Amino acid sequence: MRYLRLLGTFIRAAIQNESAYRLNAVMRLLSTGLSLAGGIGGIAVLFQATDNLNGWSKAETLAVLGVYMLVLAVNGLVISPSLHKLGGMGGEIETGNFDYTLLKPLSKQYYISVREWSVWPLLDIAVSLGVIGFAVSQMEASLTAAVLGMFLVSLVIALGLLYSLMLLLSSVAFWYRGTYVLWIMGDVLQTGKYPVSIYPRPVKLVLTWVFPVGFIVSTPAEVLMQRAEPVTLAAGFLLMLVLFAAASLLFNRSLRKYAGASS
Amino acid sequence: MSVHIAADGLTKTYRVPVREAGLGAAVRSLFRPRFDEVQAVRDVSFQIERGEMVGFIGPNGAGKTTTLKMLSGLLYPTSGSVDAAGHTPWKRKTQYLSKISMLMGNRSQLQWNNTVYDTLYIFKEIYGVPSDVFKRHLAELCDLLDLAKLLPKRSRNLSLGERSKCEFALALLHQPEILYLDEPTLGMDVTMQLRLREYIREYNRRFGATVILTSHYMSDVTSLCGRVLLINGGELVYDGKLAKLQEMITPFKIVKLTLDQAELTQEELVSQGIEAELTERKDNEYMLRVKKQDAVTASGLLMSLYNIVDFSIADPPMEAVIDKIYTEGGLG
Repeated sequence: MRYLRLLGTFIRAAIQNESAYRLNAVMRLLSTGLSLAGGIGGIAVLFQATDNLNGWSKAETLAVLGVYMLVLAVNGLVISPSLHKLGGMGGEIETGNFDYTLLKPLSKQYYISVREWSVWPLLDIAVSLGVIGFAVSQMEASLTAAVLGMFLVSLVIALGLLYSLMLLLSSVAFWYRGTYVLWIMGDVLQTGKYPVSIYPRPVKLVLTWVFPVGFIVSTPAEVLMQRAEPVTLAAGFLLMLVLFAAASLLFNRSLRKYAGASS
Repeated sequence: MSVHIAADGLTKTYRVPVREAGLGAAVRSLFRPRFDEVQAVRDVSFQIERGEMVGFIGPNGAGKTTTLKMLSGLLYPTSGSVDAAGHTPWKRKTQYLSKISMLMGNRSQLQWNNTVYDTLYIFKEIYGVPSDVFKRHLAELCDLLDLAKLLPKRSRNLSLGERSKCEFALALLHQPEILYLDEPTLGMDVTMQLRLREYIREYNRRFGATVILTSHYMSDVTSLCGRVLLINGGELVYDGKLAKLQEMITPFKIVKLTLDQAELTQEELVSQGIEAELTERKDNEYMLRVKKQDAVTASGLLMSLYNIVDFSIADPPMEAVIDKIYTEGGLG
């Protein structure tokens, strides 16, 4: 209950913080517009010469783009702002400000995962939902409550996988004094703009089991299109549990490595 | 009084990456990194009673901050044990962390774009302070730190002094029973240092909190701490009253006198049988160093032999004492 209340406090603080940067709203709107235009433009180019890309229609590919934007937006809402505070130049581990984080009477994993929020990705969420809605309206299959429910479950799995991967990568910063490796996630996620099945088999395997962009972006889209096998969802769920346990274990082990910025 | 913090055989060894200078060495270190072991703290043991104010002193790199970080739970020791308020600090139990606070003069907990009140409110939630207690504590802090007018301001708009007050308020909001202060007055002007010391003294008096302080400003230590722990080269070399340390290191008094006209030289002092060393002269003002046991006789002789305009006798400044320890590397 206390942790739920704290969540509200952190969100409130984020809104108060963002009020200091009024121009941000305009810039974020511009950035969302540009990323949407880039995504749709890319799909338009891909489908100029064909109606079908490895079994994916234009509307279905648009749905993947919508899910990609949605996952990225939720990531930008809380996971990324919180975890980005740890590593890199000026990050808490490098500057030693992690001292104060460690001294808070809270679960450290909870605190570092939810303490920072950015409100502007809410715009991206609205736009991505619009893209998904439009894509679904262009498809032949109708959207039932059961499909929507499964879609939400697949999204939770996707975000759980993304969070676990990002926590794993963030923990590396404790072993190599602030080294910033979260950028890998940004680059790998880019590959999720299009259905994973369009990539060559070796890349597809890496994107399914090593950096599971397939589970994170393609699977929720497949659920929407009623193409996903239940076994795929179950495999994604299992992978999420394993990755979450591994990431939590590594993070809590990594805390022992922390020695501050100075002795 | 009861023991609040007990450290036994506390030792911390760091593994520090090292390499020779130059580009080649930098590239080689990527493939074959080399490490040195640095023993930052060695077998340090002490006990601190509830409500005591204790100063950790020692030169740069002596191991003060490392010791403080082990006490607060930030660092795991290589060996040894600590019992602080019934807890092992580095287990970082919520119950322990709720009882302590650490203030670091070179770090900030303020949220840059948020108001001071909003940041305090976040701390209220983090420390689980009930709303009625929060109101009471905030009123007390406003009284102690004259904080009320700063509450609606954004942290980034505060002056350095105001910011320090707010950092203090954040550290004290949950009314910690142990306060670890690492260079709390770093970079502050003299007035602000004086005020902050007053806050610390008042907090200790009002709430009976145990305060452990490290500072490079000796006046922080002399004005707050009756007891000091002198750490040098990672070892505890002295644990006791500050005044006694002063007596051990500098067993002499400083006599300052201004003469009407006459000249005073070292030869004359010897010829008059005055056991004193002339250390400084500026016009008619003289500074002498006299052994403590000879101070009364020497003063009497000076007064009877010379026409003195001004006269004072005092202990050497604490800075001089500490400098002697630091430069000579211990108590000899």
